[in-house]
Amino acid sequence: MATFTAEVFQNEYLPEGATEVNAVVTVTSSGTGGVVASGPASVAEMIIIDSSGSMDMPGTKMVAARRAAQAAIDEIVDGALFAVLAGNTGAQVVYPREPGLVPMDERTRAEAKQWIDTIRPGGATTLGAWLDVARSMFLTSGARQCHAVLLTDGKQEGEPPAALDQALSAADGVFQCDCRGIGEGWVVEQLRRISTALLGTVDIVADPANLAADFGEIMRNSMARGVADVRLRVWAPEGSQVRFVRQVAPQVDDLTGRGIAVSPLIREFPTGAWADESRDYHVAVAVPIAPIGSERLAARVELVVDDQVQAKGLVRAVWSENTDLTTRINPSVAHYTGQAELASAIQDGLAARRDGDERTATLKLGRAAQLAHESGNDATIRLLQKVVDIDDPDAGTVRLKRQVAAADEMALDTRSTKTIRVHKEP
Amino acid sequence: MALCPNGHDSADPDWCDRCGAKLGALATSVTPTPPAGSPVAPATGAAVPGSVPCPNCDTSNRANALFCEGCGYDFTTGQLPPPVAPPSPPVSTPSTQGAAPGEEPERVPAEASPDGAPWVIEVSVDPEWYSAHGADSGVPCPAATSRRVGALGETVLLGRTSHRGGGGPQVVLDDDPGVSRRHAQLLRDAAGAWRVVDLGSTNGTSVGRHGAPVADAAPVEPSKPFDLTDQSVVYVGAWTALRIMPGDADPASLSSPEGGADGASS
Ligand SMILES: [Zn+2]
Ligand SMILES: [Zn+2]
Repeated sequence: MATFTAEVFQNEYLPEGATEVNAVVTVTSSGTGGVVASGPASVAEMIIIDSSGSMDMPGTKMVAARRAAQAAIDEIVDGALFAVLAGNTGAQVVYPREPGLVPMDERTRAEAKQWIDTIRPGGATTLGAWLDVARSMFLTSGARQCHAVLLTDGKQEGEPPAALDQALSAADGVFQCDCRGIGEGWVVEQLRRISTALLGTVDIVADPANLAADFGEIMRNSMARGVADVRLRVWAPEGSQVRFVRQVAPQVDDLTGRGIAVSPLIREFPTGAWADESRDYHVAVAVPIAPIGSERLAARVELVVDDQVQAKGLVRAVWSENTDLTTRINPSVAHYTGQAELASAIQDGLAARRDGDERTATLKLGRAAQLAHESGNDATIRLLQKVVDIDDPDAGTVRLKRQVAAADEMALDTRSTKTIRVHKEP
Repeated sequence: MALCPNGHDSADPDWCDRCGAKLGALATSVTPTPPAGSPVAPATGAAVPGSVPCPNCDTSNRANALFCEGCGYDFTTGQLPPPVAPPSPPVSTPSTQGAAPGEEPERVPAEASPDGAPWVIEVSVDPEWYSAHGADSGVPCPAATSRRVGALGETVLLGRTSHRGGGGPQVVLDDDPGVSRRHAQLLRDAAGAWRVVDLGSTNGTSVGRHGAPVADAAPVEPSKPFDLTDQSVVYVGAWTALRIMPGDADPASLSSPEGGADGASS
């Protein structure tokens, strides 16, 4: 039996005239039981493998992609529906050899692996068309927890650029999608757009040899999710404005624009399916001013499954004259404000570097080094060190490296949104 | 159902479903709303009981005022507002002198150029509002005119020019005797939605709907931002009506009384 808990970290005390309330809400789930508990027949998986012409250059990419697809197949539990697509100009169903998805069992697993070995490179990278095929197959499968993993080595081509956004808005709410880029010819921004819209992850697999292990892990994570379609429901009082709702751990993901209004004061934000895990959300609300001594509820944050509230966190506002109280900054709020700034400093700095604006790039990446150092985000420090020489991490003084491997820059970009947690640290 | 101190029914017994007020607590958070149609009192004047003098300019202020009406002194922090260049005086072209109430106001050039501003505020003399609320002031209503002020920032202060310098309003309403020095503020959020907040003005701020009778306009609660729609009209003082519109909007297209529903929403 899945249980959810919500814990609120905030300084509720506001000085006179202040209106902005910030809180970090940590939501933890346990006992979700994975797809075995929720019923494998309601779960659908799709493996989408780039088979465009560039996958043959070098041919090791195509070989690694086939091995990765087979590793993912091994992780899908019996009874779950699945299919394998080869993406090129359009998308071909590699398996099953009959319409729709088939349940996983000993026979279909063996057949799928054999058919995967027949995938040959050729054609373009029509990312939008691939997602469209996946969406229509998921919709006709009848499954309620749908997930895809998408592998590409190239950038979108062979279709109008708008086809990707159109496919994403159609796929929104139908399935989740984890994206992996292999090699250096793909565009971080495109895969991030897909993974953000479809509540998944994005990463670079620089070495094809590591792809199979990564795909296996992605599929194991998906199989661990036992609760589908969890929503974050946010109530804020009349006259207030929800400034942002942002997932801040395990990665930064701004949900603000994705809320669905369920009443004038309530919005719901889809968060996808959950395994046993913990996620942090930063909520900022501008509330109407109230006099000293007033206490108001500034936001109510609830986890909702099938319209049933599973956990609730209350964000309060108390107006006080006591400056000892009102000047305190909650450590969680401060930490995640910094982590969100870190992600945008890296992305802005890399964009400036690509545009040849070395001054902005140095400033932004310097700020990133400072924030990563302050918060002890060592993984990000190590990625930054491949792009800049850090002279003084306290002051944020860096020099751009002259020679940077494209894969190192892409790794820094894709992993810029990964945060470290604050409450769990000793 | 619990009853909130602000008069809302709430299914949640602990916190009001609408305004978030703590239920069961002392109802100290309620600011009384001035009754609609209350006569216009002079906006500034001798100290009244319950008022506090400003340490900077001696203007008398309401006891719980956040800012001095005279100079913008911040009672909470004790800070003076940064000096602001005085805005150019309003152009009042009496070209429709003697126009009967209800006649179509004439548009005149704006005091601050709205060119390039993403939003403009149309400031009108509204004879209908004057007949309903401003006649008690004893000051005759000027001719029905209208001017447009560019709104560049996220906040626009409505009020009167301070003689002591300090934070001058972006929309200068010196002619209207019912307008307080720091009367109200218009607030814009990132999505382009506007709200109005009354800064504890003497005569209050009301919001009505374009094309609807002024009798339907209702006062807003002081210090509480009130959501505006593109059909909202903000009334202040004895005769001033304000509307916010996109800077590139054709005024004719905005004068239609048709539009979305009025009222507050999240
Ligand atoms: Zn209430
Ligand atoms: Zn003063």
